[in-house]
Amino acid sequence: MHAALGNATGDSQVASEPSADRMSRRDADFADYLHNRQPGLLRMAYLLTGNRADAEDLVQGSLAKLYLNWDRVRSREALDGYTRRIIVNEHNSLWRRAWKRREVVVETFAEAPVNSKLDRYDDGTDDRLWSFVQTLPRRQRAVVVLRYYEELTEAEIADVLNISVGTVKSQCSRALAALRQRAPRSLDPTYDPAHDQSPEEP
Amino acid sequence: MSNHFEDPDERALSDALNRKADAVGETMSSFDAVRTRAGSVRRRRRLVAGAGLAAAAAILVPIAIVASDGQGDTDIDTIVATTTPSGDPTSRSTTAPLTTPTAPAKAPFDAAELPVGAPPAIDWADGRDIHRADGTIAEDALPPDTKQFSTWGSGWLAVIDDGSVKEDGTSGDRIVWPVPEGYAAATPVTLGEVVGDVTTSAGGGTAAWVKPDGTVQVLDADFQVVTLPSISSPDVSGAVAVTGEDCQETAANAPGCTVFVNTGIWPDAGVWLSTSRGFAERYDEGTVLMDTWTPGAYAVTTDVDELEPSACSAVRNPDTLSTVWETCDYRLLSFSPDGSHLLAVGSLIDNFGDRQVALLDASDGTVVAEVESTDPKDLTPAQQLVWEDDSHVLIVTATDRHYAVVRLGLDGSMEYAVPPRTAKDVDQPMLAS
Repeated sequence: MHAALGNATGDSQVASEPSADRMSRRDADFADYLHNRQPGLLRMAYLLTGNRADAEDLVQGSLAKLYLNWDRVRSREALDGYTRRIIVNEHNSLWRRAWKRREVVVETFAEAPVNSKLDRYDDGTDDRLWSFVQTLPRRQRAVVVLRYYEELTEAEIADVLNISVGTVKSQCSRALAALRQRAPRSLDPTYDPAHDQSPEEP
Repeated sequence: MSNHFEDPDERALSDALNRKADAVGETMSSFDAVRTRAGSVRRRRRLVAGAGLAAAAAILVPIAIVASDGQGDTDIDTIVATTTPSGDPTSRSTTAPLTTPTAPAKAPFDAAELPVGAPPAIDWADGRDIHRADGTIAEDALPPDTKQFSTWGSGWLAVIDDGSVKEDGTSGDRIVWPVPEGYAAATPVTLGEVVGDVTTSAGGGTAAWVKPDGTVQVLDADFQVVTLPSISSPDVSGAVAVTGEDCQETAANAPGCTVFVNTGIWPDAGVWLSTSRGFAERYDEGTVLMDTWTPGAYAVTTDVDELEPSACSAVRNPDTLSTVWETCDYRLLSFSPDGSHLLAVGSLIDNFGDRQVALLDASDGTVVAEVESTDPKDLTPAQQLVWEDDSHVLIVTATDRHYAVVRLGLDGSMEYAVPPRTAKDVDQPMLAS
């Protein structure tokens, strides 16, 4: 989903508006987007960076770039993909990688939401998986986050990251292979190892 | 929270990510904060654009001077070489121009249809198998999950990462495997936590690394770990070069060895050195890029735009620490074995591989050959770039479970050193560094 970048919105009414009104409307549109989408973008950024402070900085910097290009995004439907791409590219900065790669901050949150179905099985699996995700190279981590958190299709991920579908598949495959190698046989919270041996057991 | 993944591992991973993300909370930047930041980005872009104009002016002035001397048909390459003599780098010191000379026309980096040339003249790995330069294959010579490998004496040195993250958030141990005959017969050396990569000397007899506390260590040809004086900077980011093959100074008048270490965060980045002579000191400002050290010259980062992200680089004289030339169009990766040319890639960085590869004259930055990948879906760009000899580089490209190794010459010629083929598992080949 390459964001369609152009010189105008294609809306003749916008072109005829006084400049101040147009800016006001532009800012209002952007503020709406900011309000509605920032929490989701922050969550994605957190999964990419591994800590909240970097995630907030990453999202703010990315939204600033989005603001500068706001008038050039023709299709509002493409906004999320375009913004995700900015965030991933920002995060992939060589310099942040080189200088922050050893600052692997593992945060814990006391206010984790309660989910009665899954918490019943929360035996530390989340932390193990989270630790694993943080060891992934950045490209793999971006693919994993877009696939397993944003739940984008492989084709959508390829568009966001501007890579081939094959590369998306191979990155996912590689990440899962590493996960299975390092983690217990199955990490599914609902997986019951006894089930395979004795189906009658609860 | 549920998801649509049928595979239990994928489902568990998705659930874990959702729970972690949900716990982040909803701290948000205000519209005013974002708009203020946007203003900062815009100002920075204008500054960069201004620097570009200044660079253009710096080149135009010599053109006018040469033209007035009746040499109006002299091309820009010649003019830059004329105005930036490489023989006396100190004469240019801090006023060195941004060297972006007129380049040969960029050739498309299209690895779809190339002639097949000779196989790589350096060792390379396909999975765990090492293909020697002489054409023979050492099967399963590398340990699983090898991260990098280098020639090491008559064999190789493999580096792996145990992949763990400790409870305090630090990384796991780095382990090196000297594999003279294959790793099954080798004894690994556990280095502990290492910052950055393990770097090896040109002669393949010394490997060096740095630990988070600034401890500098080397592995010598006898597989002995030698500790050198520590770097006192609070923020080391990696050992980037080691010169010398005898860190224990076993021979009389031995030159010893020196390890160069990047430290700090831009704009406070710097280069330190630690020597077998028993001292460590700050050497230069800026950050030395990987493997950009050769007798008589070295390359540093001179400016970093973290937002874009891009960087400027410079070549400096190690004796005078003066700038010989500088560029904001390319990132400098490594000198050719004879030191006459530099392998470079585009200055913009997106971490998905480099689409622009250039070979520069090391004396003044003139572009000798350049290729650029234009179709992001057709060819995954350069994943690894290594000098094969004084006049050729090898470029690993990979796409959709196929890979190729392309040879690029100083004359701009391209051919396959390894034709496109299906990768073993999903690994891509590694070239010995």
